[in-house]
Formats: sequence, structure tokens, C-alpha cells
Amino acid sequence: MSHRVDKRAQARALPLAPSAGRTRRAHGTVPSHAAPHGWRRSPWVVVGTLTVVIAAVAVMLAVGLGGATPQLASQSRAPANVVYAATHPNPAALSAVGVTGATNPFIALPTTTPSLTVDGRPQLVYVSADYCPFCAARRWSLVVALSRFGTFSNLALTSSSSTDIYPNTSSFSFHGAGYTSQYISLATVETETRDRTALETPSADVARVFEQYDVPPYTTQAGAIPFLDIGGRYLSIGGGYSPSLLQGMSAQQIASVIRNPNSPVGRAIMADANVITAAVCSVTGNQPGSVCGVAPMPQIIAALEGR
Amino acid sequence: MSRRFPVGGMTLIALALVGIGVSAYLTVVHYAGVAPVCTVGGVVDCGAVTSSSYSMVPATSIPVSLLGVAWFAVSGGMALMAVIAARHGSAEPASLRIGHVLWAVIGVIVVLYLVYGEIDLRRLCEWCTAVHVLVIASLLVAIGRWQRAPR
Repeated sequence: MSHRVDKRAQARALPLAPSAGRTRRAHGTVPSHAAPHGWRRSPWVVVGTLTVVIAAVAVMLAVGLGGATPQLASQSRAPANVVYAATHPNPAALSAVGVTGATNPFIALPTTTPSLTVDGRPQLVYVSADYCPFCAARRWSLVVALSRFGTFSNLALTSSSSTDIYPNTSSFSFHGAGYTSQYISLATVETETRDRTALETPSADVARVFEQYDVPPYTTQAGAIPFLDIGGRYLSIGGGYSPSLLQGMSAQQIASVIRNPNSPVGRAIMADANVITAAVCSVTGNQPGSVCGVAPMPQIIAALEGR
Repeated sequence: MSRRFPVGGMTLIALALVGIGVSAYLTVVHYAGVAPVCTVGGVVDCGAVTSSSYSMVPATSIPVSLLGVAWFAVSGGMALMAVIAARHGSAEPASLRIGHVLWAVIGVIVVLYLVYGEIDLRRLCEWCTAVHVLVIASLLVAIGRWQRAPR
């Protein structure tokens, strides 16, 4: 025991590497108590650093997993290639498609309507439900369009109700997903699961917008979904194309044609995405230019704005 | 007179070269818009991580993997300067070792942010983890070199 103590004391007193230090000490020119920064050479510095890093990761695990949004039994993790296909749209294909085939023109709200903004950015409100096939169809084009302005994370796959019209329409679900953008803010609400059990409750602000605008004359049926409000300036209630196009297709199959302008499915999704993109450009002041300034987007925006 | 082999410096160079390779690969697949070769379909899913918002420098369109290339290039460059000095028997600049430690600390702070991103996404990216391990290893080696610095 005493031997160990002596060795430690010696290690603290002696410099570790340079032979010059040892020589001087051997000659007794530098007293051991004068060795500066003895702690610096302690192996505990490395051990302590590693411990701090591991502790930091452990704390983040505790904090990060504490607020986990549990994935539903009716949802599955979206495969990387599906997410890639939807979130990395083909600009050339989007330009080639334009808005040909888009079936749900946006409603321009009066200019006196208060704009929707969050932290200075225009806000998009999307009210939807996992069981709804029109919502499922719209989510594909929303993901394509909004990926041009920001980044989705944690997208899950689901399908619409098996007992509703256009049963089992494959799509993403926004439940548990995240979205970041420097241009816009996105508020999504998935009100019910595909089995029609209650899922998410809208915030007071979203509920106010939904109750104020999801009524005639903006729609024939109050409370219809999908409901999309872009910045308080444009409304789109209902799907942008028929979910019948997606019937019998898996998410993988839809993803395989989503960037293909020669596919009817790809064209329908991209045309709807272009309309959404134009509306978003209109509320962001045509930012970013790399999206809003590329033909035929200026023409689509002009048509949307009635210019 | 035999010169000592600069183990620490060479290790840092090796770590930097591997790090540049992995980071460059992730940068290339980012700009190519394709999924990296990795596990898909579970908690380990690099595609889900590299396509998330955490894969970009906040408020920019710059992939973080490009920062990784730059970080390893600087780290390798500093180590190379030390090795060259050792091979020529000349004194290594006094501030180089502590500078390398500080540079590695910055790298580890960024790594912790990216690890938090993986936790937030509930996905683990094996390519990213390899880079994280390389950065942390670089910090430990840099600290070791700093501890052995002549006074």
C-alpha cells in the first residue's frame, strides 16, 4: 500500500516526458514542489475529458428521449429512399410539369385578412387526419413542395382508413414529424388515426383559423379536411388531385415515380406541389429565389396573385 | 542520434485522413441527392439522419458533412506541421499543441449537437457515428500530446 502511494506521489512530482526535466530533477536543481502544472500530465485529464463527453451524451439521451412522440401502431418508419424521393424533388421535372392537371385552385383571401405569421415568418396551417384519403394524397405534394423551403424530419408512413373511400391510400403522416425552415413556419394537426380515434388537438390559434375559414363560402361542408391555409392569404380545402391515382400503390411505388414527369402519379403530385409552392412563394416575398424565380414558377405565382 | 517517432502527430493525421474520407463521402451523397450506403429499417438508419434538418448548418444550405471535411483538414494540417517539425528536429510552435486541443474541443461541441440531433430523430447514423468517434479520439490524442509537451 505504501509502495503505491509513493509511486503516485512520484508521478505527481515528476514530469512525464521530456528527459530534460528528469535530468534537472536528478541533479536536484528543481525541487519537486516547484513543478508547475503537475495536474496537466495526469492521466486523469484524459479520463476526465472522456467522462465529461460520455456524461454529456447521457444527459442528452435523458432530455431528448423524455419528450418522445410515440409512433402509432398504424404508422411505420418511412424508409430512407422514400423520404429521399419525396424530400429531394427534381426541379427540372417540376418545371416540365407546371400545374397541368392540378384540380384544386387556391382561394385568395381578401387582402384585409390578417396574415398568419410566427416569428416573422409566414405560417402554413394544415389540418388533416390519418384516415382521410384526400389528406393522404395531399401530404405527398405538401412534402414535395415544403421540402423546397425547409427540411422534414421523423416522417412516418401510414395509410388511410381501410373502410373509407379510396381505402388504404399510402402516405406520410405528420404525427410526430418535424419541419424546419428559415422561410416559413408549419403547423400540422392530424386530428384522428386511420382507425378514427382522436390523435392531436389543434392549438388555440390553429383552431381559430380552422373554425373561421373552414366554412362556407370557402367550402361546401364546414370542417372539411384536408384544410390548408398559407400565410392567411390562400386557402385550399380538399385534395389537390384524386386519391384514385394512388390506389393499390405502396409508398415505395409512389416514391419511385414521384420525380418522374412521365408518370401520371408523378405529374399529379408535382402539379399540386407546384401550386402549393407558388402560394408559399407569394407569402415569402418570392424567397428563396432559387425556387420562386425559376420558370415556370413566376408565371404560376402571377396567375395565383391575379396579375 | 535517433529522432523519436511522432506517434501522436501521426495518429492525428491518420484520424484526419479517415475523417476527411467519411465526411467527403457524406458530402458527395448529399449533393447527389442519393441515400448513403448504410443500414435502413430500424433505429440505425443513416438516411433518416442525413436527410433531416440536423444534416444542414442551421439557417443555411451547407451540409454539416462539409464542415467535417474542413475540420479534419485543419486538424490534419496542424498535426502535419508538428510531424514535419519533429522530423526536422526543430521545435514545434509552442501554441500548436494547445491550439489543437482547443480545435478538438470545438469539434466535440459540434459532435454533441449532432448526437442530440440523432437522439431527437430517434435514429442513429453509422457514418455519422464514425465521424463522431474520430473527432473524440482526436481530442484525446491532442490532449495526450499537449500533456507531453516540453515546458
